[in-house]
Amino acid sequence: MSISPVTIVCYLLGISAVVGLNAVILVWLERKVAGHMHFRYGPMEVGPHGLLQTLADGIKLLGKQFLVPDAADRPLFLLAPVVSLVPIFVAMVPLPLGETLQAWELNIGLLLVVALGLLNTLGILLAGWGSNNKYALLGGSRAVAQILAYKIPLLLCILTIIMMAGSYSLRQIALAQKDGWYILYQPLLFIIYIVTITLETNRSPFDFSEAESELVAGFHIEYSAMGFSLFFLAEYSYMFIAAALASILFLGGWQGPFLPGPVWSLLKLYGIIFLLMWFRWTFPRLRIDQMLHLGWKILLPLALVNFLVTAGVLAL
Amino acid sequence: MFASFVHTVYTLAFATILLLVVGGALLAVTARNLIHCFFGLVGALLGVAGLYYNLGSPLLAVMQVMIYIGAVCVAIAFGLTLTRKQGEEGMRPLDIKAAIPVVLVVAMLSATLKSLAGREIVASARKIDESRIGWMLLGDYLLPFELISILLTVAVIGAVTIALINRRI
Amino acid sequence: MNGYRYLAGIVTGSVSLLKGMRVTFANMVSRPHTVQWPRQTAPLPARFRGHIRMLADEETGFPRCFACGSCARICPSACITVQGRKPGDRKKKVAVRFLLDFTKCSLCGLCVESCPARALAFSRDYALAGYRDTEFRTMDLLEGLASPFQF
Repeated sequence: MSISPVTIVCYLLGISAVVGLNAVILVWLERKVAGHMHFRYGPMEVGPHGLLQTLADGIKLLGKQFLVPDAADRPLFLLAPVVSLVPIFVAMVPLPLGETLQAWELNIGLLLVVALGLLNTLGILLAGWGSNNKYALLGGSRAVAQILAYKIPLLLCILTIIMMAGSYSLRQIALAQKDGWYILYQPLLFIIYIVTITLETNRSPFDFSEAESELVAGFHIEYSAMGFSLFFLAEYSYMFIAAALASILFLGGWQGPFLPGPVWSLLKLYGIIFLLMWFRWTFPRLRIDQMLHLGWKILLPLALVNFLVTAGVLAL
Repeated sequence: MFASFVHTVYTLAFATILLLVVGGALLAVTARNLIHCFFGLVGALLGVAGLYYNLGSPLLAVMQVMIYIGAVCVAIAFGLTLTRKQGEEGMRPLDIKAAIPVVLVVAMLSATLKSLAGREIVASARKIDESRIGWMLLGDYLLPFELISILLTVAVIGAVTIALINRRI
Repeated sequence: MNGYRYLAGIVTGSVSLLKGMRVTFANMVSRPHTVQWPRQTAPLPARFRGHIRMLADEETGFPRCFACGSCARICPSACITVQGRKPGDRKKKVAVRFLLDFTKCSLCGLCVESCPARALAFSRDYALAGYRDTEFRTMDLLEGLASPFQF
């Protein structure tokens, strides 16, 4: 109740800046990583090493026309990009990127971020349904099947970490790793978590709802111009949030020697994002049944066993 | 001036939440299109999360989002995308049977309000630590907690059984 | 036994995934194969076949072609038109018109092989662009060469 409107506006501006800049950098980085993994350079023309390419693309998208198909369910179609983007602004609030760089220290921050991360699927479902297009609908229903497969392992991972740190607060969890990062105690859990966030952010090899080789563009097939860019912003911002969460839960957040806190958190965060990109350009897309097999028969039992063993060790 | 501005913002926020709850619930029961009903339900549940937050329990609000929207609604959506048939076949969304729950709800609400009449209602009397909720669930309220778990397990087994029966036929 | 196979499957699967990741990482840190055209150009292979061109006689600088027409006859796509005349002081004819319809040419090279004067060769010109098809329908191969005829 003591936060003034000015502060709130400043936070909103800061978060918007993070969302925008992050997307600009990540799109560029993705194309660079993809290029170099294919023995190409990626974008080279706009700006030094193509750094401004995303900006040019963004301006181009701004100038395009936003079309709503006649047969689309208009309110749902228009609502979908907003529904996928808005939770991001809330989810970024409790993320601590430094000792003092945090919008709001919330004692249930971790739960908030995870809960809002799950809302991404709703946006995809809305878009898939509202477009009234067979590919979009298939993409939407695949996203729903996917969330059921990864949600429980994801929550089990988070529960284990909460148990170890004894707090829901992201800041407290990071501070609890002062003496040793959790990745050292829980390497298996880290791997499970990375797989689940790959599932959560709908990235290859789990990009079922987009699946350009099967569903053309999946849920965002009917979106043009800014509708499309909002989905892109949302996708890359979810990557940012998921990677930031991974760096806080397993790599001690902003803590590290020599360098200042924010630099460390960005290093860790973009390291994890690079890992996700590395996955994307290495692994072919799974079949749906293989993904369900992975989620229910491999990740879930492993996460459960890991959870029980951790609980046992902590109880002793 | 400043304080009144903040007050206006809070009032507006509360009005939005109320609109979400009431509007979403109305949409959920009146819309002809199943997916509109579904998103009405999502809106209503989101609004309820906002109400919890307003009542001073952010934990409950987040749990509401995580469980009701992240899990229950997604499960419903999963069913919708797999089983939906085109068109609006079946009953009209509102017929005479709908009056039964309305009467029940009105009766229960009026009874509750009557019992509360004359008392002062204070929202968020004091902050409860999250760990205390855990201790309470595993201590004083262990039996109800476990009973609810059994209920859920029975429901899951029932669902699996129904699915299996349908498959064999 | 089943449990063993389950775990072994996870382990071997993970190892194979790591191998794949090693391959792509090695790709990433190795030099890209792309040539940044037009700032850089890839070296053309020695036997690159561009459209044919007319060679000049070393002494006179005139076209070597004496308009025997064997290239036009052997061309499977009939894309060569050649005409020649005798200049006043010489016995041999010299080409006055040598037109190539590059829109039909399949670069088979029969004309180059059949030329008795070895007047034809493949050019190394690969960056062809034009505003209309007539530029490639009637490519004048005598352009730029000296001519014994005064117009």
